[in-house]
Amino acid sequence: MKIYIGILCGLLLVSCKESATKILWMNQAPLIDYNDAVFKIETSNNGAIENCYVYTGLQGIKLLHITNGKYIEARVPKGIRLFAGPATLLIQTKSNHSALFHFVGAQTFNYTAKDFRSPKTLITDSSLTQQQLIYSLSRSRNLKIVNGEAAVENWNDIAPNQKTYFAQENKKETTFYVEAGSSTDIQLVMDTISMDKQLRFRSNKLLDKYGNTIVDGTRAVLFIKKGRKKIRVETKTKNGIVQYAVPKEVKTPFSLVLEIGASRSNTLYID
Amino acid sequence: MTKYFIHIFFVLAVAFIVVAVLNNQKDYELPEFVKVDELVLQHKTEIKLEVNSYVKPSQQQLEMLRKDYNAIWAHLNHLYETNETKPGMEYYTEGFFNFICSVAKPLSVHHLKREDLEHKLHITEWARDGLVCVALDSNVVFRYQPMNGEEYYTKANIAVALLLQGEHWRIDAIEFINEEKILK
Repeated sequence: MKIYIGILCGLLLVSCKESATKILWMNQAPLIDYNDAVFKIETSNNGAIENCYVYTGLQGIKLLHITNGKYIEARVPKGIRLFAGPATLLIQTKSNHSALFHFVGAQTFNYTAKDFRSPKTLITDSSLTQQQLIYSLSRSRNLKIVNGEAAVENWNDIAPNQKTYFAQENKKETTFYVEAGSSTDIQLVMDTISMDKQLRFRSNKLLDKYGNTIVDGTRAVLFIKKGRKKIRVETKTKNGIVQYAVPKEVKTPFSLVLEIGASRSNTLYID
Repeated sequence: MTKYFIHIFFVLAVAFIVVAVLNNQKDYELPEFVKVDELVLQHKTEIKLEVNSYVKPSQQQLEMLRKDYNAIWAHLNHLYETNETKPGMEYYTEGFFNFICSVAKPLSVHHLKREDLEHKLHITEWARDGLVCVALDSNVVFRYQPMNGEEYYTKANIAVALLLQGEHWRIDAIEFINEEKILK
């Protein structure tokens, strides 16, 4: 019986001795600047420290540490930027004890803005109002908070000029476009008769209501009416003009109308 | 003569089978949509969503966000514990991934484990094209489990910027506005 009590007491003593390994963070502060941070750590038994870690909000980083007299100096490996914000210093001893200290890590950084526009393509026929979202972030992916807001939202009216814009200079991914809408006024005229005696027709320069040339490849539909026969021909615009040569098989007289979207041209009667 | 042809045919057939089998054994990477993400499967956290933006996302968009936000935290916690950057690649934007890769190597021993228990995500900005979402995550409850030591709980306010890229919401930037220890 006595032996057991003896062993128990011994165990107790040993365990007490173990927990007596105190870990102190000497230069503890609530705010630590990561750029020149040195974590000075002292233990009752110096050699016992195995590793030091800093856990930022994102990841855990093993610190480099050297023994300097009475204490241990740990620092962030060179050239590494850490994510700023609440962080934890974890000190691990060789006897599997660990101590945790909480602090806020600071990092000097420049914020760069990211500008998102939506929709990316505006057409002058429809609304020219565009949503703009801007948020700023640092190289360490810290999001900038201003007055409790992480992003700025604007609703802009864009000028109705056909153009490619850059939300941010030199950033191709931020381009957005204003495209011409549909044409308002269509005039169909006969071209001069060429050598091959085909009848050729052309439209005027097709513009939307703001004077932008309508987009190349816009579908144009020609309706040819010859007596009771009706012929429908699809073609497309190029440089804002529709050109069409009526095949020789279609003999005069016939009438011709050009339709683009909702607009219709004058009717041409060819005798 | 035909005897030789039959021999050649058999040799070719056997060669073909050998090559096919060898080719099959080579372990190739599965396309992303076939892969099963174990980390995400095992992670289920409570996410309450609140829409405070001018542009309102549809119910379907919200469900997708909830699913991906859950996955993002599964990977952020894994990153926190192990500093392994690759498993969560699908949930980080290019810039975010580059940054976390610039910070040290994976940890050999995992001393501190983090779990997220609760979220309340306030969507403050939602892009009209549904590709950008900025949100404040208030009252996030974390449980930390040190390898040697007692677990503790914290409450945090977090701001996140998410971008919809390649079928997923991805985290682009994050800010821990504050984090405090709580009793639970």
